[in-house]
Amino acid sequence: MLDLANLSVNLKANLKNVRATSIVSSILVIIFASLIFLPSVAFSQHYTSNRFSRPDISPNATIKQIRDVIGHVKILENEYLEVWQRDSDLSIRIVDKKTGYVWGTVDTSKANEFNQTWSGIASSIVGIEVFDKGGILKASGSGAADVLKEYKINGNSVTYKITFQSVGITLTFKMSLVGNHLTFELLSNSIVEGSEYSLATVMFMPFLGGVREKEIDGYIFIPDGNGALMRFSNAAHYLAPYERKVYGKDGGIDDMFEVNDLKAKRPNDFAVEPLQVLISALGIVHAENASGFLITTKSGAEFSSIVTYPSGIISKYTWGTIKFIYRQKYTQRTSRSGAGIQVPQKDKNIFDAKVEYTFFNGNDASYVGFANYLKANYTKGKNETTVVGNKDVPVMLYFILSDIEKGILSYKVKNVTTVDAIIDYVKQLKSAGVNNIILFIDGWQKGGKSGYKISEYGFEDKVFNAEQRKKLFEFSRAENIKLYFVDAFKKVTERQLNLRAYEVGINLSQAPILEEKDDKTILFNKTYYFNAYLAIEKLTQKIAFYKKNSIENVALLDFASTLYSDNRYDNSYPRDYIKNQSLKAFEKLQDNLNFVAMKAPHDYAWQYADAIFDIPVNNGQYLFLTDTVPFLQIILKGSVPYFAPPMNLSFYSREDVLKCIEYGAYPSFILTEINNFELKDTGISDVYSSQFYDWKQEIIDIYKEINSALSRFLGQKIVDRRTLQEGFVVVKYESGDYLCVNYTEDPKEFENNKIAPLSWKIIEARK
Amino acid sequence: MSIHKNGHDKKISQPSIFLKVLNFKLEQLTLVLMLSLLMLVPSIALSLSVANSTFYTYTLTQDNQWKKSQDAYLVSKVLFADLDLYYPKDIFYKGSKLYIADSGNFRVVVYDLVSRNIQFIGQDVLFTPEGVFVDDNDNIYVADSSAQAVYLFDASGTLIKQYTRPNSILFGVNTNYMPKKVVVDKRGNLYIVSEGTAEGIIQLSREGDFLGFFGSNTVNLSLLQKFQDIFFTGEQKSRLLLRIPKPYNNLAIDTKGLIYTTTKSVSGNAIKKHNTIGTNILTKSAKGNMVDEPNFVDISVANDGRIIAVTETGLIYEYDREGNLLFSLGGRAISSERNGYFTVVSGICVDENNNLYVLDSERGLVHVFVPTLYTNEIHKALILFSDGKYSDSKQKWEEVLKYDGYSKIAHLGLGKAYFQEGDYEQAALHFKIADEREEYSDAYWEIRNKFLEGNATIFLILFAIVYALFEILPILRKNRVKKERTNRFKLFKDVMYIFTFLRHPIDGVYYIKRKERTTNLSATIVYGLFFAVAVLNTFGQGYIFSQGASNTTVGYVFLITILPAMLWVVSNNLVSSITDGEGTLSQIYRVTAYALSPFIVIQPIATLLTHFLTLNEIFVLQFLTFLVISWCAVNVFIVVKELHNVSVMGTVWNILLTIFWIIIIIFIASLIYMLWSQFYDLIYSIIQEVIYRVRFG
Repeated sequence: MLDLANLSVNLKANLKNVRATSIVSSILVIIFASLIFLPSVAFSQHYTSNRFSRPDISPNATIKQIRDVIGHVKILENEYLEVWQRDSDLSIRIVDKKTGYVWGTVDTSKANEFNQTWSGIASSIVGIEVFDKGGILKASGSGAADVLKEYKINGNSVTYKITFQSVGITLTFKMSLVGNHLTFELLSNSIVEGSEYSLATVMFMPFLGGVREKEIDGYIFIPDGNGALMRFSNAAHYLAPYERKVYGKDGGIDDMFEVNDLKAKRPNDFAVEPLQVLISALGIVHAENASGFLITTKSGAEFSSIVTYPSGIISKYTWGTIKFIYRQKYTQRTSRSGAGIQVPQKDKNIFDAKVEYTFFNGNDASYVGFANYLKANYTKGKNETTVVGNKDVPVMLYFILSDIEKGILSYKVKNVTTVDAIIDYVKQLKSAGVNNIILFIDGWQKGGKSGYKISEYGFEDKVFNAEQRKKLFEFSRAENIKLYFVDAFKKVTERQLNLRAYEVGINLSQAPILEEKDDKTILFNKTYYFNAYLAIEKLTQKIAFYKKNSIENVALLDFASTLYSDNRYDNSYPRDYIKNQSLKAFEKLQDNLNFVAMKAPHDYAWQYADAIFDIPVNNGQYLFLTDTVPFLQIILKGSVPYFAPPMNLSFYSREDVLKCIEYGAYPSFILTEINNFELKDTGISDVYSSQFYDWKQEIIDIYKEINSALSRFLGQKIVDRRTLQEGFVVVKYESGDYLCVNYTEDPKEFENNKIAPLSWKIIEARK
Repeated sequence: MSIHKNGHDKKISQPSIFLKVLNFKLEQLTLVLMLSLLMLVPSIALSLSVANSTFYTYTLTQDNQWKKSQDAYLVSKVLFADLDLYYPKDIFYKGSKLYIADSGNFRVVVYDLVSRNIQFIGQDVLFTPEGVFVDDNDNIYVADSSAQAVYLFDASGTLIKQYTRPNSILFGVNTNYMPKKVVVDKRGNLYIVSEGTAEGIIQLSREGDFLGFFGSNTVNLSLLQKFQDIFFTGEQKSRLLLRIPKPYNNLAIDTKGLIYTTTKSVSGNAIKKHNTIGTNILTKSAKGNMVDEPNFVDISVANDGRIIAVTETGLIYEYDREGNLLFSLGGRAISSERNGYFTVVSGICVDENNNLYVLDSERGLVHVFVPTLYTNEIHKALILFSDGKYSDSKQKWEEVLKYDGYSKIAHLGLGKAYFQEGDYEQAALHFKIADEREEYSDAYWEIRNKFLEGNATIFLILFAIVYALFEILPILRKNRVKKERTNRFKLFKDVMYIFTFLRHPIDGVYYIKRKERTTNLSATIVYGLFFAVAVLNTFGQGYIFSQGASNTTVGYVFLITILPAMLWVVSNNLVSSITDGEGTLSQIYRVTAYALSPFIVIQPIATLLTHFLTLNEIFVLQFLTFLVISWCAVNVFIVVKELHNVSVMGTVWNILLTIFWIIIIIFIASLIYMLWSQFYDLIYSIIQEVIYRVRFG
């Protein structure tokens, strides 16, 4: 008995022990498990890369000035700004009257880290580069000793006449102060050149807002890709500064290739197509002092380039500006293999250069403030709900109907997707809950996607004869699904143009404009650029064809994202002329068609775009770019619907879906009926995965998630975006609601709401 | 006599399609040659828009063709921009720390990835640290080539031991000792790659005693060198530098203690995996058909056995444990510095989460590559298979295929999984798509086995019937009345003469010479048959034996069959007219055609057999090929002898001269072609210059 009692006591004690130990051990297990799943290395997360944003810089309570007006004289003033100037080197100071913050170029009388040339530029109001007779580039600035500076003040503007005596060039330009803008205008006929030197580039106040290493916290905003920030940092050894032409390379003069031998047996085609600069703008934010300014180009954007120097190249200053290009070097071919010599352009580009500096303070002094400011220019009277036409967000399904294939002896058109298949797929998706589908149809042209002739208008009868067209149109009308017909006019394969009929674009060295991939496994490794002027003609002429065949909506693949001149020696069309003609073509499209979608268009086309697809979601990932910011998306959200790049091509991971949600981008997929294996001898052999059934479930899941996040924000503009911590972003919409996105593997908190790892949450505005 | 408009006989000759194709191929060749001068960068409307990466990821498809694939790795961070590393030469990962041999700054940098602390090791001791290795006790081994020593430091940086040149006689008096790279196994033995030490990897014990040279490369003599060997004396041979085996340039060790090496300027076996006696046990590499590059500079082995190598130009190659390529990614920084672009790479290492750290020695930066979802799936599938979970791995591979329908490695994985499960049909299907002929052959063997077993009785009956027919038919034939020979089917009979020629070549030549049998037309038809059989052989072989049939064209087959035959005929005619041979051009033409009859009759049988045999029975095909070739060769000999009526020596002489003439003709033709193309280039350049001057002054 006693034994039993003892036993039971022991047992109870043991049980208690067991309970205790089990609790302890389960706690230990939890700790262990969390340790295992905790990232062991901080850099192993995608969100730490410069494809995402770093935490915002919070402004100081008091302003830390890095410039002063000592030695300067006030020359202009209005209720927003004061402009001060020093006569000896035309050094400029701009005072924001609201905060008292002083902006300025560098005072090189105090800073002795510049050599003679650069000290003349760093302090100056204007800097130029010139070519000598031998084609060597020389730089100079108004701050140099041998430069004659004359100016005359009339009311709210100052006319300058700067004579660079050593190179014999005189510039006469005007600086005006209107509201919180300071504009510079240099007319093309007010440039006087001598005989020895020819003007290459001009930049105004290049070092305005430049910061020495980490004097203060802030960044330069560069519109590379969808938006990039270059934060001020300590000097580092970079090979080259950031200098990129706005609207991408001009095939009519720039070299469209780069020597880059990997010395490998594998194809040398390793570089992804670099993202373009879509808008001629640059912003500098001194975030610590809640001050910033935005430079926008009012005239001459086609001949401008964005220049930014990180600290460590030439000097310890980080500076950036917009540069106007009057002359550049190009390759004059001398042999059949394409080798040649680099010579400067003989004739100057003719255009009026005009830049506008707009000054911001407080909350507006950030890339978000810049984007909000620019909205007015691009999104007047536009609302995406007209194009989306539904309470659910759209998903874009890009189908390729046919493409050309290389057979043993000749080319033939291959049937890639049938109309019946498209109808079937759409029905399946709709029944699974994908309510708003927009269809983009490519490869409908006679000859297939890579084989149709630009000059001939017709349908590919193998996959899209009259009967099938009728079926598709009827289906789309019945289900209220918009059909966009994809068309390309500028970048074509050799089968699409007639080289002998002058259809190919000609560059300054009188050679056809062409790009070539060093990869023998793909069918068309040469891409020709269609004659720029003719391309516009073909587009305008095709409008009649569209209307005749009930094509209401058109998607332009390259028309709005490729801008180049044509330089045949007897008949040349400069880049700005082509742009203006393109604008006329866009207007005609708008007048005659229902909706026009454009792929990653340049900013001059945004007003005419009803939808944008393949919008950049990153920048060029240069080593000195520290953040990616959705500048484009903040401008466009609510006004123009935009689709992310095709998600089946390396954009389907959790972070990518979250990025779509954060940026307000709608999903898109590029799809075919047949397996990609069967496409290996076609022009789309590069598309590695597009078969519908492989992606059906993904389309449904991704659509449902993005729809549940973004449907309530349809038609609403983004008013603010904050990166609270690394990998944790909050976006604020017009209605006051917040959309929080957490890219990290730890839960985050915002206004007493928890956001789980790798997920998003909508937090409604407090009433 | 009719007078033509142009005053001369205007014959319009239609070049045959084959010549056109030939032309086209030659044109392509020249284009390729010229364009290889310009390596070009893409940016095309038809090109892929890849959202997240600055570089493409490639994988292999059928025929070992390269193709783009889902992003395998993305760069997360670029480290050490502010650390001022100066020509760092090696990188090693251990326990959340990166160890970098900062060669130009005479030190080793230890960077803690979690705490971000930096420690410097060996600043007073090191001279040119080029290799670094850390063992399980966090002791740091540093190979210093100029100091000719391997230093051993403990985790705090105190120097414990110095491994200088071994004293052993076996090491050799003239042998170099300039340690560049070092790895250490679990017993503390050091494996050292030393500059210019062609004997192999230097193996030292933990005390520093010389244990031997480990695994040296073999020397492959070219044909010319083998020819030279006939004439050189032993002494001369020993002095030839080219006979020295290529040295290894880097090495790595895996968790099991096996050594992996890389070699520069070789192809197909640049990466080797050595067993304990140094033999290369990486099958693909041992056979010399691994897909690699000639400029690997570093290699690293992941915990699950995957091999990762990097080239000097910034290409990262990842292989599975057997040496099958998974990905090739990365790029070169020419004018822009971006994530994933390198100037000069000197090292790579991988951590336990499969992140890659790649060291750019020119820029002093480390790019961190993080695997994507796609890559993690592939890694899981590989691990499942190696753990024996075949059906689970099958499921994973199916998922992988969804992301990239082509992927060779996925199909190979599926094939292997099906094979292990015994579903040989499916295994064969996937092996075929993965283009793995050996695996396919094994699967096909199993299928064939099953088929034969299942249908053995039917085969026996069929065989009996065929045998019976063979016995009965000749008897039946004898009883038929012999019809009179008519001239109506002469052409047909002339073509059928190839069978007679097979059995009686000497008589055949006699009758051809006497113009009693065969005409030029029938000979042309025979050449046609020869070409047809050759084409059939190139394109019609069974899968297991057809090598790269999709890469050749009909034109190419023409180039290697009809063209040499015609060249032979013409040269032989030239030779025989010089050496007083009796054959005329027409006779040589006909006789050569019929000499090829063994090929025409027997090769189709071999081609047919390729559809039913496996690699185990390759000797049958090799025998048949040998038979055909030697028979044809003998025929040629006989034909020349009989036709020109010369002695044996005379025949040999005749044949040698003919070959010589063929070479001369080819040489002259290519010379003319090259000169013409140069001439054309020159004229074009002059015209361009003139135009430029005129237009632009």
